[in-house]
Parts: sequence; C-alpha cells; structure tokens
Amino acid sequence: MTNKHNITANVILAREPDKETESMIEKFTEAHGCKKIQYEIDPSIIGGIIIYIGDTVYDGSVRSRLDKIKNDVTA
Amino acid sequence: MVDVNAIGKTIVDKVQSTHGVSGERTCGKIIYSGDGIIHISGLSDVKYNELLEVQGGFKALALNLERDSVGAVLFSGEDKVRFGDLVYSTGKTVQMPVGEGFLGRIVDPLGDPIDGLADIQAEEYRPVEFPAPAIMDRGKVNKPLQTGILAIDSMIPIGRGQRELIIGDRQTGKTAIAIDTILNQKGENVICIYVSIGQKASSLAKIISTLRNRGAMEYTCVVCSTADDDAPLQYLAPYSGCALAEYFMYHGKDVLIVYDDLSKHAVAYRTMSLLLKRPAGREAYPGDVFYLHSRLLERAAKLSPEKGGGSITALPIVETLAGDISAYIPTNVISITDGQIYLESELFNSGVRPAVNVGLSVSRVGGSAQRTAIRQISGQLRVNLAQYRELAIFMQFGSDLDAETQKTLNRGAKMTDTLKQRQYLNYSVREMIVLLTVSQSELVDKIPEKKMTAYNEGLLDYIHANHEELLEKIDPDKKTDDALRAEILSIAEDYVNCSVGEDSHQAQSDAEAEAEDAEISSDVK
Repeated sequence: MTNKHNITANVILAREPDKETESMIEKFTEAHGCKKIQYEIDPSIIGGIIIYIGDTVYDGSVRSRLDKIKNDVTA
Repeated sequence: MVDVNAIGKTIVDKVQSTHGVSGERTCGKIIYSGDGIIHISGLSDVKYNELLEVQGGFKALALNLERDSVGAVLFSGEDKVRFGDLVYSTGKTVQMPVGEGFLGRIVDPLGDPIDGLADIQAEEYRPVEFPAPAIMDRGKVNKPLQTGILAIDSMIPIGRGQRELIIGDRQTGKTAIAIDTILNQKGENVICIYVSIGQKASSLAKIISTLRNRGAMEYTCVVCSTADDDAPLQYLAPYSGCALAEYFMYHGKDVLIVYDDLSKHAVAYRTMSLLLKRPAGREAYPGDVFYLHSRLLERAAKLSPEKGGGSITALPIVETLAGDISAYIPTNVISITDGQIYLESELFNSGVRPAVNVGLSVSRVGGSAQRTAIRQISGQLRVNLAQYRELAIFMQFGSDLDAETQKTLNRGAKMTDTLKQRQYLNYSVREMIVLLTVSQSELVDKIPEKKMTAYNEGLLDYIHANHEELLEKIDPDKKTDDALRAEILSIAEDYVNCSVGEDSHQAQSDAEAEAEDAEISSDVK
C-alpha cells in the first residue's frame, strides 16, 4: 500500500515496553509515515518485536528466528 | 556410523547463518482456502508466479493477482492452513536446486530427494520458469541423438537439440521408446532427465528399477510427481526438470529430457485453472494451455559454439484417446515440436514393435544430423516402404499377382520385419548399417517368411562372434562403398546359407518366436 500516512502501526511485543523502547518504536513508525501506534502483548513471540504497517511486516521476533532455525536444521 | 560431531557442526553452522532473519516483508491473510487454492487479502506488492510462504512453513505459488486479493495454489499443507493464517511474500519465483549431484537421484518437483538417500548438494539455484535461449544464441542441430531403435534412427532421425513428440494411444509402447533411448545414451556423454507427470507410482517404480538395473541411473535424474501429488506439483514438474536440464546445457553438455506425459500435465493445469476460476475454453482447458507447452518446449535448444554448444533434446509424450490426434492437446504439441513419432495400437497388436507408423511419423530437423552412412541407405528404405504400403493396400482387393509384384510384397514385408525390435535391445550405428544393407539387398529373398527378425538378431550375434573386424571397418560418417557393401553381404550370405539349412531341421524355432512375442508383450508397457 503506497499511502501509509493514515494507517495504524501494529506493534507486537512479548511484554510491556519501557520508555526507551517506546520512543525507538515511535521513531521507526514515524519514519515510515505512521502517526498512530497500537500495542499488543503476545508472550508467545518470546522476545524481540514485530511491527505491521499496512501490508508490510518487520519481523524481529525471537520466535520467528527459532522457527527459521528449526526449518533450516530439519530441512 | 553416525558422526555426531559433524552433525553438531552442521547445526551450529546453520544456526549461525540464520542470523539475518527476515527484515522487511509483505504479508497478507488467508481469506479463503479450499481444494488447494488459497485467496489472500493484502500482499499488495506480490508479483505473478512469486513463491509465497504460508505460516507453518508451507509453500504456495501466486497465480491470480486481483485488486483486493491474490489467488495462489498450495504445494503442500492443503489440510493444515487455516483461515486467517499469515502469508508472506518471498520476492523470489520458484527455484530449483541444480548440480551434478542430481545425477543418479530421484527428486520431487521442488528438488528434494525422495529416494531416501543423502541430501543433495546444490551447486546453484535456477528459476523453474526461465526464458528460452535467444535466436542468436542458438546453433544448428548437427549431431544425432541415437535412440538405438532402427525404425527411428533410420527414418525419423532425432538430432541433439530437437523436440520430437512421441504420440499414441495407451499401451502402444510410448514410454518404452523413451526408456530405450535413455538406455542407449550409455557412454554417449548425454545426461538424461526423466520427468514423470501424474503417473502411477507402480509404473514409475518399474521404470526406475529398469534404469537402475541397466546402469542408466549414473547419468540420469528422475524428477517425479505421481498421480496422488497435488495438481500444482504435477504442473511444476516439467519446468523443474527443464531447469535442471538447462543447468547442464549452459555448462556445455548434451541433455536428453523426457516429459512423460504432457496430456496429464495439461490436465493438472486445467484443474488449477478451473479452481482458480479462470475462464474455460475448448475441452475446458484454459486459454493459455498452448503457451503452457510452447514455453516449456522452446527451452529445448542447441546452443551456438560461442555459448558452449550444449543442447537439450526434448522427447515429450502425449497420450491420445482412440487414435484421435486431432484432439486439442495433441494438435497443440504436434505444432510446437519438430516432428512426431506416431505409435498405433493396431500395429502394436499385430506384432510390429516398436509400433511406429512410419508414414505419419516425421522428423523436421533431424535429417541434417543423421550419420552419412545411415542417410545413404535410409532414403531408399523410405521409398521402398512407401511403395510396399501402397501396393499392399491395393492388393487387398486383387488375388492374382504376377511374380514381380509378389516379390515386391515379400520384400516389403521383410523390410517391415527388419524394423521390428525387441525392447532393451538397442542397435549400434554400425549394426544398423549392416541390417539396413542386408534388408535392401536380394539376399532377403532367401530368408523364409516371418523369420526376418530372428535372422537379424542371429546375424548380428554371428558377426560379433566371427567377424568383429567388419564392424570396425564400417565408418558411419562416410558413404558405404560398393566393396564394403559386398563384404557385408557376403558375410550375411554365409550366415543365411548355413542357418537356412539348419532351419529346415529345426521345428522348434517357431515355438521360440512365439515365446519371444509373449515376452515382448509383457515387457512393453
């Protein structure tokens, strides 16, 4: 989606963010043109962060890394 | 003995190499799933034919790009994906791992081994959809690809880089010709790829064991999708096989690829298209079914010497129903290929095996690649056979024949018998020259009727046992001169004279011939 300005960024974290993390996230989403942020806490991602902006996903979660390792090692 | 340390090291390597996991990716959600088709909302920047990754590690192929959704086919996990699952784009089209390691192996259309042996080390990855070589990169077809089958090599010669269709009803020996051709490539420096598309697993197992037992697996790779594989895998199989063939071709090697068979491929594509709700055309095939095969077969080519001179020779197989070659898929593929080998059930049942209908079979480019000595005799053979067929049809109405006509008929029948050949019994070029020379001579008049095939086999055994030097004298790339022809004929005459004498005492050969016939019919599938 080309117009990202009016959309909300969905941010998934394993636990509540602290102030420092929050400001980093704001900086990142603003750089991608998002004003609003919606936080979601999902302990199953273990750690790290997943950010959805429109169709784009920035996945830096520990779970997806573990999944990738699992796939690579068992393949 | 399993080396635990080596396994540990591999795991550590792999874990370390997964560091840079997924940065920015586009994703979407499954809004429909059924019959192996998924519709996805989102995925706004996905491209046509892009490989998608569904949550849970399943792969899918994006085929329909619409305004609000993307239609894709699943390669696996049809029963495991759920509504709302995330689908990620990968930015890549489907890739096939390729390399020397694939020779001797049996793999699925995604390049994963299914023969229970070790992992295959891929040298590189090639896209399964790849543009055919450009016009300027192509060279002339000038080297023959010997099938070892007399009827084909003499009258329907195939050149390296040619696309020759094998067409016929079920049970006419289509696959048998392809397998014989693969077996005949032993020591010819040709890499073979056998692609099975939607075949019965039992017949495939039989083919693989034949290739193994006869030592053909060393230079062969089998890419297989069986009848119980999902349609997308069957659809993908020939393109994957072709990607593997291209790897070898661009490395300057000669490759033979067999697509067995393209009618099932068209059916698999029809299944996908109908489920994707694309408009149906003739025989319910989608509009691009011609392009489906033309883009595949265009990739078979002979490269120019500047490009390494490699080649892909394609032998697509098409099954007809009740001999109808004017159905949709057969006409399409006939018009794409450089000729066809037409097999007939009537011929097959009357004992002409391989059941090649010489009149309807053609090769449009192979003639220029034919070995000189074979070309010299085969021209005459074609004319004589055509004459015989015409006369034979005409004679069905008449009864009184003059001696001359009777002689032409007899010789024609014996020529037809010469072209009969047992499965797995491939002739070398020199042996073919001997057989053709004999079949075109007066000598055949001495051979009793219906014994021609047995005589030919016997003659070759006799020559191998007693006159090996004769075969060495024959140069396939030079015209056979009169002296050499006389020598061939005199040796053949010796053999004929002594076996005609023997034959009158032996009543058993009839029974033998019958037993042989029975054996062939059980062999040819």
